[in-house]
Amino acid sequence: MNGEAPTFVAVLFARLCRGDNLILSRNGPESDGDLFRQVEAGEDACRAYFMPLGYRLERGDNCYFFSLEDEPQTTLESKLERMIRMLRLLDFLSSHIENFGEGVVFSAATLTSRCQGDSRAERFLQENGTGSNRAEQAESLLLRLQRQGYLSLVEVQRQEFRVLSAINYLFDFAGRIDLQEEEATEEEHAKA
Amino acid sequence: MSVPSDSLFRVFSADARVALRRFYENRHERIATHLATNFAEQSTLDRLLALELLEYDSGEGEYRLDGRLESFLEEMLGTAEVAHADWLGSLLEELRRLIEACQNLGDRRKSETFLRRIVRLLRHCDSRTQRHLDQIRSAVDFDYRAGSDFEVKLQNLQWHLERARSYGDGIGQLDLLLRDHPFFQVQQDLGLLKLRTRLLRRCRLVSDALITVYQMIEEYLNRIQRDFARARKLIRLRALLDRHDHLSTTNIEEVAAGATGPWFYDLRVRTLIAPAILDERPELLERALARSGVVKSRGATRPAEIRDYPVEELPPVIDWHDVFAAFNGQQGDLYSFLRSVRVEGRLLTESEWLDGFCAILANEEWSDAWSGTVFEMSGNENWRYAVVPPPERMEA
Repeated sequence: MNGEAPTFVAVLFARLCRGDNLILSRNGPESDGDLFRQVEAGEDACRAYFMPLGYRLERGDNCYFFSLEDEPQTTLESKLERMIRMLRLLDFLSSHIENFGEGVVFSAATLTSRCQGDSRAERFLQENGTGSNRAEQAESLLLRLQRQGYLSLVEVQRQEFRVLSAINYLFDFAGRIDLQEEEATEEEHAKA
Repeated sequence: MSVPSDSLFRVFSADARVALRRFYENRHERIATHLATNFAEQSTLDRLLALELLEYDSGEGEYRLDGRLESFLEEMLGTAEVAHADWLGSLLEELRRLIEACQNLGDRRKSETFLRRIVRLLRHCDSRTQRHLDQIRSAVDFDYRAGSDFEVKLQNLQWHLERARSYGDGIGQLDLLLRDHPFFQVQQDLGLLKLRTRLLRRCRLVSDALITVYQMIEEYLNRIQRDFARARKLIRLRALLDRHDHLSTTNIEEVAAGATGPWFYDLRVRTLIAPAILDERPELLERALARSGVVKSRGATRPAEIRDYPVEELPPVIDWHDVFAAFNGQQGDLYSFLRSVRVEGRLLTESEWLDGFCAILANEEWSDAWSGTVFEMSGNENWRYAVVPPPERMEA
């Protein structure tokens, strides 16, 4: 291995390869913020260190993550399914959280109350959350997103979450999708 | 003028409450000393002055609410007017008129009256410029955060941008007037000169702050446009997904095919094996990965044809949790123990006990038991191995 590797590569590897949270956000917890700044300062050296090991250090909008050079290829169907799940999740969050995006703070209670009476949102929560009522389903969904590093719990008592920069990784995929049927969708938008 | 809610004034003590409320109701009027004493006793007025809730203009002999308190009350009671900086334009006009009159008058007494009026206007201007800037700033912030209608937000922010620009022009004119007008060059009155210097500094500070406000508005505008486009796209995509038209009308398939990163990981490599082993013994890593079901895919995937192989050749399924539990319940070291383990009526093969050795040592749940332990090394004719005692024996 390269003898001039940055000192924090072991920490970075452990952070991005273990557990469920595999994205390093600039506005994450303090330790993440520090590590982000270190990586930002030595980005090229880090990339060069991990490349021979088969890990590509990718930089998104205010976030870092690994993509594997020899990534085990999931089938296209599986990837499509994940992509659709992701789009539905983003659509749900954008519709029910005001100004949803990096840095926004919201509470689980607000999300739950906004879903009340919206049959589509209730169905989404039922399918994607666990629990017997809407509040529990919303909470479980948000906690899962927190475990995956897209949200961070800023206030435990009031169940307030902050949207982390990692969400830009998901928005990036949504941004890459081109819509061909402009006119028809314009009508849909007008209806919506 | 009536105050919309009395409840807010309850935050003040009983004697101050009535006075402050009356000052607030008459905030647009000039309140001379004799009027102020009708609102409250002199001692109360003095106390309010000491608490900086009131201001006293000794030149004019007039009282008025402190600028900060006035804006706080207006904001809390919802009477704050978010308007263009027309007041600054009219104030500048009046200033120019007064200066001209002051210069043209031969009568010293009359000219002093005008001078006092100019000083009063400049004082008023000093406190109001900062307040107006704060109002713009908070209105921009509020309009960005509140509400969910993107078009209304855009409209409001564009209006604030115009407003900030016109205010900046007004401040520029005031700065020019104070700096270059001959009236201020020839004035000897110390109070006026001090006030002029203070206002010039204030103009510079407000101009600097306005640049920040412009940048903030532009950033908000960009964000809103981006969020708007994003939300619109997601709504369209939702409609396409619901109609099952997403494959034919978007390039989602292409994007999904090239998608990488955590959302699309199928599995993660988790290992405690030392980097030296990974580098020097690639075959061990390959076997460890193969054991986890990770193999390089070559060509199209096809179902495994297990009928071609006799059943007895299929490797046994070994639950290393059970093996570890048994290992923990005896006294021997890991190597010797694994050599004596039997599955399906036979001893483990070399490959199987090697797998077991690595699996037990590398397991995250169990490896803590040996954390920091330096193992003795032993060997036979084929192998050199670490003598790993069962965790329970170590604790004893």
